[in-house]
Amino acid sequence: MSDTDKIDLAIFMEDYLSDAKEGFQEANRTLLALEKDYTRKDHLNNILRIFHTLKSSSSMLNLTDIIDFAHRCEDFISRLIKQEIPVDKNTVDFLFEVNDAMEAIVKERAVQGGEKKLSDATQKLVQTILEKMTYLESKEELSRLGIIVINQKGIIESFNPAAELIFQYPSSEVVGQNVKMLMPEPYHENHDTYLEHYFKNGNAGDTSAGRHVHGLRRNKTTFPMELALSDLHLGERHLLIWVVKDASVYAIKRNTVSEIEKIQTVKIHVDLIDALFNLVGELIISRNRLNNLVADILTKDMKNVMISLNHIITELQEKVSSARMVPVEEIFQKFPKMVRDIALEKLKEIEMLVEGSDTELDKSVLNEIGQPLMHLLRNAVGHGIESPEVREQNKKGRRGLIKLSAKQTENQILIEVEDDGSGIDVEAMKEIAIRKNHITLEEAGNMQEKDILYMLFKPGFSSTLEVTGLSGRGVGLDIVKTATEKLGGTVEISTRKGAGTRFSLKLPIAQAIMQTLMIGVGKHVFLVPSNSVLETMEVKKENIKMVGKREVFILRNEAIPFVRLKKLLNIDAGEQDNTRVVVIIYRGDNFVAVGVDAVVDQMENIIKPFDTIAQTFKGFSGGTILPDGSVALLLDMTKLFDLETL
Amino acid sequence: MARMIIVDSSAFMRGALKFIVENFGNEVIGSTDTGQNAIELCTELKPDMLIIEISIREGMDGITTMKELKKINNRILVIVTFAPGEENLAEDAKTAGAVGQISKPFLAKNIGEELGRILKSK
Repeated sequence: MSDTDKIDLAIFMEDYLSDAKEGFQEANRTLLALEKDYTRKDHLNNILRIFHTLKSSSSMLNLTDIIDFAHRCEDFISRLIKQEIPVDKNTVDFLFEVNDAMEAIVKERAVQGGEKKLSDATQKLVQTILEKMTYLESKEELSRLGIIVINQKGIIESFNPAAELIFQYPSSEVVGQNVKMLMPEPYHENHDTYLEHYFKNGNAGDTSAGRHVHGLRRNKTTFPMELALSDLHLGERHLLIWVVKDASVYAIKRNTVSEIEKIQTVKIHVDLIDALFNLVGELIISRNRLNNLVADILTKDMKNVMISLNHIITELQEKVSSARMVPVEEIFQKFPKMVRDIALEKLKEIEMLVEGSDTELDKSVLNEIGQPLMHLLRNAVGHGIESPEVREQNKKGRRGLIKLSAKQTENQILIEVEDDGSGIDVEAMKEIAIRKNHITLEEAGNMQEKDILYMLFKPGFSSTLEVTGLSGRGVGLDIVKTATEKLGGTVEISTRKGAGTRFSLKLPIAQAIMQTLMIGVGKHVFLVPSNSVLETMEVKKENIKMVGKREVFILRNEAIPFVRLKKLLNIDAGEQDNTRVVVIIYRGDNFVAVGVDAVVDQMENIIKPFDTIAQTFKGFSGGTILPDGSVALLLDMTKLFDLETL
Repeated sequence: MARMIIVDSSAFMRGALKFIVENFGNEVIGSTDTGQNAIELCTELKPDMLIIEISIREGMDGITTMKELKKINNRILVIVTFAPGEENLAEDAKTAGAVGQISKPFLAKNIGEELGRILKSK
């Protein structure tokens, strides 16, 4: 062979590898998109193209095993495109594996050239993939075919397992019944005639294989069906065989619409929505002021106008608020790939479930919640789910499950990150906390499980634990807590050792417009969110007691911490304490009694949160302008509780 | 001894082609991955020959680019590279004025021969 035949292109290995890597990344992205919509053939075509290009370059470098493998993959993908093998979760997961395996070979070849043998591990990997490919190719074709045998009267005589799956009936419910039960209108009606015709003429007539019809499932839903008819003569009996293929996998996958709905949306820039929202806020403040100013001088006509105005503004506020609502999918969508990647990195096998992605949240809340969720998911993968070996030892499946869900309940949104991993060892935590002097033995005795878990949220706490699993678990949790509480929500942990852990984030649906209770101390008015208030009552001397150095308030035989707001905020120091009313505030199961001079009013207020500079106002989380023009500060509930509980 | 510009989506391919054609004594004065860039380069550098991929990944495809370039300089010699399955496109390219075609994956020998054929007949 002359020199010109075999120019050594090995010097281009780097370029080859970098091109290949780009291809694998693109394939990954395409697969993730395919996961969301299995009907997108263009994604499959894209992947085919990527493998084809790889095959081309590999042949330039004479990397025969890659060429062969790529060729095989191309064949497989072509079959997917031709719908000979259905595209579903199984196959897409497999494609990810194929992509990864290809990447493994390419990387190895790039390092050691085309001559040496591949490592055992890689060879085995490829072998496994090829076997699975063959299996998928042959199995799918056969097993998905439903076979139904009908007699001349249209009565079903046999119904194979695939048919059971397709129509969702156990065969016992179907055998002996007329096959019409599997047909929706209009086929239903015509079938008797059809059968007659068929059996008279002794053949399938104008129905050749591959008829496209619709089937009726047990739950009364219809689905597109490919139907082939065949005859069977058993002695004197003439039977008809239906061979059925469920074609709905190739139909629209998303469960949102079965009929085409006309969804009309208009794109609006985010800034515009914010501007509208702020304007509505200003409008409400002005309206409140107006109400206040004209309260005394309203004529009947003016009163009617004001009532009308109030209604309109409330409705406007609701509409604009809902325009700010965005489905959580926007941030949820990137998590599956992230979890997948981290799992691979940490050599864990994890399945991720995402539920309720269409739940809607106010956009500003959504922006803040992404980071915390990422931390929680990271922790769940890294420290929650055990390695496959450990899981097997403990008789759990090799694959761990992480579930991310969003749900709306009344006026809250519940977002949960749940794993079925090792759970948090609360006892161990307690011991270490005592040892490290975070709590005393006595305190520990009085603490419930949730109080101990709550310690995980203290910044820096978990890093002092120095126990793998526990220390990792706590990373970033303080961020989660801060972010959630900044949004006016709460976070709870529930765990069971060996079984798993669940983080629940409860968030208010709407931001900034809050029902507040106005309370007065001295000449000052403060606000408390109405949904934090249990009740208000008059202070009676006998309800206030001392426990050690602190005051408590007796509420229906229970002692809860009592805080005099005047003292807490150091208002009018030196002047007499006029505490007459107590406001019972609650968060979860914790209560605080706040002593004030008076309750002024309850009203809707636009709370303007403080920007970062103003957040030096410790103890307050925002403010508003009252109807009379003065400023009232919103008490920061978190700080209040932190002071009074742990 | 031609002055050439190479157009291909894959950095690897560009590198490999450059290496091979230079091995046959030609000069590669530029290479790029899109049709648009190719037009700019050709306008600026005025090469004798263009080796261009038919199905460029991004933007204009090879044949469109070739037609545009021919408008600017009718005398430029264009060789198209094509992947298996694109044989009919290679024929289209010939109709549109390409003087040669190279199939991917290519053997250096074939490239040498094709180049030789084209340059001799010039």
